[in-house]
Amino acid sequence: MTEDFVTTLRTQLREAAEREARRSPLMRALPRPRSLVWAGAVAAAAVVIALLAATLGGPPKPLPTAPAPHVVARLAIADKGGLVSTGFGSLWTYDAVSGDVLRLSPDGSVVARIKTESDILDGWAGAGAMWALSNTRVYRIDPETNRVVARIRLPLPTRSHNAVVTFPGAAWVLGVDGMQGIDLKTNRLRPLVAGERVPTGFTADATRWYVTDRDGELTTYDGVTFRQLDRVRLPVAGLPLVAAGDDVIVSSAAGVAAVDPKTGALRWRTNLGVSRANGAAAGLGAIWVQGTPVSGRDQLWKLDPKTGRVLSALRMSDFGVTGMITTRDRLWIMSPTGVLTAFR
Amino acid sequence: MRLADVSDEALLAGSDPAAFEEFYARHVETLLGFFRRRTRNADTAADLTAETFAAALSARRRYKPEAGAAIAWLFGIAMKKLADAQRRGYAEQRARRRLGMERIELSDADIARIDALGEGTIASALLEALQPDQREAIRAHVLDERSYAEIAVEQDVSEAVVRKRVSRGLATVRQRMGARR
Repeated sequence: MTEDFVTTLRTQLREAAEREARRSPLMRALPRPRSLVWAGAVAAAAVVIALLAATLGGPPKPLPTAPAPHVVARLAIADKGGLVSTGFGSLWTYDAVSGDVLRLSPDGSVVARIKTESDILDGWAGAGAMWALSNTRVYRIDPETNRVVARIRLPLPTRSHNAVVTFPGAAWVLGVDGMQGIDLKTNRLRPLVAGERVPTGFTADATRWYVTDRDGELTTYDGVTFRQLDRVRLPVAGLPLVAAGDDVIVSSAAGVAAVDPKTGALRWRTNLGVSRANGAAAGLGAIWVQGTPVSGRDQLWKLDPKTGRVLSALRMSDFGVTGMITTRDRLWIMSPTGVLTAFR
Repeated sequence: MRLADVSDEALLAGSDPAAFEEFYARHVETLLGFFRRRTRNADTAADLTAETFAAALSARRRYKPEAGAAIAWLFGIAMKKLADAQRRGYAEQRARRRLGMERIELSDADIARIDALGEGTIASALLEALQPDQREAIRAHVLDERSYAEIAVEQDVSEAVVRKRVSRGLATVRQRMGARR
């Protein structure tokens, strides 16, 4: 998948303009070449000013600002992007059109393309395997061999399942009628667990599900047993985007909010001026939100996880998000057009 | 204020990267069509367009609104790049290299689009060169698909006059297009 000439040139020019803009203030701040005598005098004056400032308190400090995230890799790896997950020392994603599951090295290069012979609706790495969901089957891929080791047929009707979710020792398939666990030893589906409420969205961390429903409540379930742990009323109307520490980040009007899933307390709310928050990820000491502003291109915001304050922002080359995840030193965003971008 | 409401001159004078992006978005197709028409080659047109905008980005601090319209300034750069390319036989990449921009390979779809822009620019330019009454008649009948009778009422002339204006205008366009080829 390649972008058209006009869009690619636009991206190149914007990146060049941003580089110029970053460079310009620095160039302006640097002193012009001076003689050593002048340099010595200026340095001495600076020491005096610094001592005076320390004694008298000095001018008010500016608000701390973080450097804007920047693109370190941009990889067109699929015709249609999907979720991105991590596991077994790799990044995992898939080409939703060709049906290829893609295993990527930590720098984003494709190390394996694994055919599933079908379009893929969803995929996630965990519970000892990479799992890919199609209209009719769940594919289990062995990370040791990069081969499909099980093709688990889903109950009819087709297209009635939409997600596969894993926790340590458990894998689930979500459908319109409820969810079914996968027996990891036999690769068979367990009986349906019907949801008692109509879910509107969910997210998960390593051990728990967080599910919102039509009644405006947020319910926490154990990831392995699906036992209900907490149920609270959402303080804002929104959908869960990502679990971050003890909080669940939900979309909220024109921005995002952090909610305590145990008490329902609103920890913070930040207006980003978006018409839609497309995705979020937690990691690298921040909450990352990709959203579509009311006008203009999509943006990426870096937020303080404790306060929700915007630390920095970046305009995006691509529209939309299908997958968003952090690794040790990078944020990865997959676009609907199959472009995987790494930020640092 | 939205960038869409800002003048070309203010966009060029601004240091915000988004301002230059808006300036680019407004004029990229015009420039592609212009270069395609002058070079008859989509690849060269794309190279020259990229080089022109890269040079414009680098030089935009030197642009003075009082010296003339921003689009005229852009076309000044474009004409220079075109003249250089015609002299050398290829489009140079100096401005792009300075900004770290790679050359973009065109897809078949890109080539088709640039070719269409060239044609569109020709037709548009030829239409603009017509007498105003012929131009308005062609726009109303051919582009807006309105009937002769409707146009006649609106322009307060007979239907036959409208037909004649459309017919003569199109004949002129055809003749000028043929003369160019």
